[in-house]
Amino acid sequence: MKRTKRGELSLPNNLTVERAEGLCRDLQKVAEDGGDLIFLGDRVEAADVAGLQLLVATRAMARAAERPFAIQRPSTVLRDALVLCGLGDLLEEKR
Amino acid sequence: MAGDPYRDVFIAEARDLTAALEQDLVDLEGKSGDGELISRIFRAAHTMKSSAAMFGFPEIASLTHAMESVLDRVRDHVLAIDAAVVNTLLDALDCLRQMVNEATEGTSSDHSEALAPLCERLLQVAAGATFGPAAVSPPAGVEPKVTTYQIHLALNDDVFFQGTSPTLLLDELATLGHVIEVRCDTSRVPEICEIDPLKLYLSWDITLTSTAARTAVEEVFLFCRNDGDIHIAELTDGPPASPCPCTGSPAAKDGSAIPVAAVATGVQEGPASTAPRLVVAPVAGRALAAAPRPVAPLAPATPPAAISPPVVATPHPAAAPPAAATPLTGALAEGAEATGLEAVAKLPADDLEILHDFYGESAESLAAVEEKILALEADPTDLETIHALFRTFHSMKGSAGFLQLEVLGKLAHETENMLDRARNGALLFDDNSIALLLTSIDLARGLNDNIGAFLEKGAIPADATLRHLRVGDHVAMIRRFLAGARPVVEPPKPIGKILVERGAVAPADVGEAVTEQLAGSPNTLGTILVDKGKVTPEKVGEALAEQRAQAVQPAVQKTISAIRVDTERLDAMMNSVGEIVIAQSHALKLATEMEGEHAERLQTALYEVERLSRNLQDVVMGVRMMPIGPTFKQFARFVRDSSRELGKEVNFVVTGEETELDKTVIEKIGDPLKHLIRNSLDHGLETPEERLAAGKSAKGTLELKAAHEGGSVIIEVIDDGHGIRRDKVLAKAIAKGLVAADQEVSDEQIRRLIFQPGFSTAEQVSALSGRGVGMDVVKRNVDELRGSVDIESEEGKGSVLRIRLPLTLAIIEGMVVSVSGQPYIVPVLAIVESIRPRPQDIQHVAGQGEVLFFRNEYLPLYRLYEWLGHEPRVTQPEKGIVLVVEDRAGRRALLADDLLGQQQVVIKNLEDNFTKLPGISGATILAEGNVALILDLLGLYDYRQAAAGGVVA
Repeated sequence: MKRTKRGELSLPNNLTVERAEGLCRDLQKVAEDGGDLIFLGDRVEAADVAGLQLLVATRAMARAAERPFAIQRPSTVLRDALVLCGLGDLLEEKR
Repeated sequence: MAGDPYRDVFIAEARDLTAALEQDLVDLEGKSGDGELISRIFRAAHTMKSSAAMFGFPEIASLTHAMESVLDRVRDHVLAIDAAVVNTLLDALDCLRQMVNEATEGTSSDHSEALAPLCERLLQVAAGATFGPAAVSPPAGVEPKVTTYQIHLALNDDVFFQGTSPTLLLDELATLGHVIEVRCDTSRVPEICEIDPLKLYLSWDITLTSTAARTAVEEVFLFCRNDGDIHIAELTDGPPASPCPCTGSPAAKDGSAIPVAAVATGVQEGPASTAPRLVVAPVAGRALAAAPRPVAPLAPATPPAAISPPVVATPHPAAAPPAAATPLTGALAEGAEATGLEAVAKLPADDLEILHDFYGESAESLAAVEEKILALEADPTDLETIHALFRTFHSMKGSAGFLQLEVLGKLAHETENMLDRARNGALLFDDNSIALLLTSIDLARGLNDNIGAFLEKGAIPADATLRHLRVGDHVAMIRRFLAGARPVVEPPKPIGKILVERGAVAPADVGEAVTEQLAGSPNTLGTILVDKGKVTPEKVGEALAEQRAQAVQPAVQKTISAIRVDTERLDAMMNSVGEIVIAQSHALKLATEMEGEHAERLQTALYEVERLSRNLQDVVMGVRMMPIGPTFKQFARFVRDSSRELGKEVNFVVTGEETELDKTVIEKIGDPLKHLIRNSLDHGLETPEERLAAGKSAKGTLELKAAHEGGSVIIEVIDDGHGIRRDKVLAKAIAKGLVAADQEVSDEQIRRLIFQPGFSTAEQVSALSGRGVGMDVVKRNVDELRGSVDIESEEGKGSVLRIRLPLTLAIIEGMVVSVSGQPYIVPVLAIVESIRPRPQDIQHVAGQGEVLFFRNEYLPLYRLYEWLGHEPRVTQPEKGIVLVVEDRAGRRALLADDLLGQQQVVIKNLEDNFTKLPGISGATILAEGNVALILDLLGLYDYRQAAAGGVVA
């Protein structure tokens, strides 16, 4: 997961259980690397509970470490999935 | 934005959708239980809403959203359909149409004043309120019970391995009603560095209001009821209302279309019991379901590639093969747990034998069905193959259930559902659904391989876990596909029903055969019945042919696609093709005057060109043809509103809506038809009281019917009212001085009287008719279309108003006549007869000029060379030809020199280059290459009469 020039992290297009292990590794790496955890969600085309709870876990780490966490520009798919699963507050997390 | 092609496409679609919506909304009143109709209306509103928001029409998006809110409640059976609901939706549609029209014309006005109360009204209707004096309270007991369910969902942490998708469960719950609240407990989620990505840590408390029964809610968790802690409690009653963006929500202001976007959630981390209760804005469950799906999207239009993602063979640690093959004992339990085989590992020895059999049979049947699916791809209507596939998955589901192979059972169950839809005609297989079937086969084969490996080697394949994970997604895909799939066909009747209807078998025999089939018989229903001697193979063959005929027709329709073409381009094409035909005729004529071998070959080649150019002309003519159905259907609203205004009950029936005629004719026939319908409603059909007194049903019938007859189209307006009252027509005609009191009047003359200008028998002038300006206008308009109108009526039984129209206005059947050596075209439709009269048939009547005695009638005789200003060549009628013609001005005789022949001529408009000439409707080019003017006989008559100081008819 690469950072943009502005330091944002672009979420992959697939946040489902099939890719959960790879996504988890990527998130663990960015968590270890330090820096803000500002994710861009505009590329997300598929998401389910397995993928979303990894974002919850990343936020848990960010809160514990007092690091900024946010999901910006969520795609409709991502937004709907978060709302459906009662995780809409992930979108409200600010720096 | 003018000229934006996408915007133009939206506008064109919006016009089509509003037209379709009007018809459907009118139908809705009489078909309140028609789920497909309601869904279609909902989809139309939803499509408009989404497209309008996308193309920058926020007001249209707001209004359609409010309409959607009402329709959502109707679809959920929360709101009963009554006159008030339909009236409100029709009012909204009127406003919508106005906005679409303005978009079409590129004008715009501020609708906010009208829009806000309209949206508010829709919202209140959605909430169950009714409006106005016409409001009808829903009958008691119609409103279904609304139940509030509190659902606690805490699944085991390994559910991903069971093929269960919590996202799908939440999504399915949302489709059952309105999700009021979703509380997600995130307290068990570890930090990212410690998490196992394939374990579930979340749990939920969901509040749902729904009209669905508890069993329907329980059914959502059918396949995971043993996979965790699931509680369903029933709380209180009371449906929430959908928010309307028109009343100030952010969605209305920015035109965003999906209500979920306005929902704010704010669940805090912590145990569910202590987390602050989050009350989210009410979410329309259906609207949420209609929104883009959270998991890999799959709609019927999704390309097959999206349906079958490539398998990524990433072995999960839990699925890694054991270092050494392990005997088939409890020691396998660890590997088995990760692949859904834990129950298998505990099977007793006897059942393991059954498992062996199951594995072998499944491998065989899966190999066979793949072939069948490929056959299905070639013929998606092949019911025999669909039945065979259904039986395969049905058997697999049954055995899997017995052997506790839950994941395989789930896969077989969902695939069976899809096949069940297909065999009932509710689904026609296409590329996407075939791809889903093939994926089901792949996954079933993979799961079966797991069993095989488990049985034979005691080892689990490396990708076994991944297969299980994919089953969950695949099942979700099938469910989504089925939720979004529309029946593209009227379900073909089951073969048993057809046989019973044909009297070939008794219903009890079919029942027995079905029972046998469900018990596992590999034979088709027809074969079982034949084997039992209940029916002959021939009868089954006939029934199958009928069934196939039902299925094939819509399949063909489905593949029809269309593009929009400017009619000016079509006209230009028609013109060019017409000239090709003429040029070819000219060339052929020249070739026939040549001699020699080359001339013969040239003629042969030109005959071929003639054939091809005529074909081309027919094709271009066909392009201009449109079905008259949409024109007919637009009258449904008119009939509904008018009949209410008149206090009459009317059943409006449309037949022959597929009849095609030229677009120009269709555009011009609307007004005359409206007059005729209005006339039938006002003067033809009786009030319910009058009908009951006459021994008829209170509800009258008004039928609009179209059919081809020869080269014409016949349109009929048929009513079962009291018919034309001859005595009333006659009395009115005498009062108006149109006939003498003692004159004998034939039925034909009575009919003609009705089309006289200003003639009306209505005792009262109503808002609809009675001023006598209807029927003569109809006749004039139909005459202009080169058609004719007639009435048949039987007193007390009803009337038939019949319009005969040419198929097209671009070509006419013309009689080429010679007048002083010049060719002219007379429309054949106007000619009653062509004769060479005897000298004694021509007489002079003082003050009236020449008359022709023709079939016991004296007709005025006019000399065309005089009318057209030519030097005469033939002055004696007995040496020339007399055309007896008839139109609105009545019958008359016209003297020409000679008849040159009858031919189809392409009309060329003169008015583009010349001033309009009275009496000339256009020109055409004859085969010789010379130009002939086409006579407008009525215009010519009117012109000459006016010039002579006579009265113009």
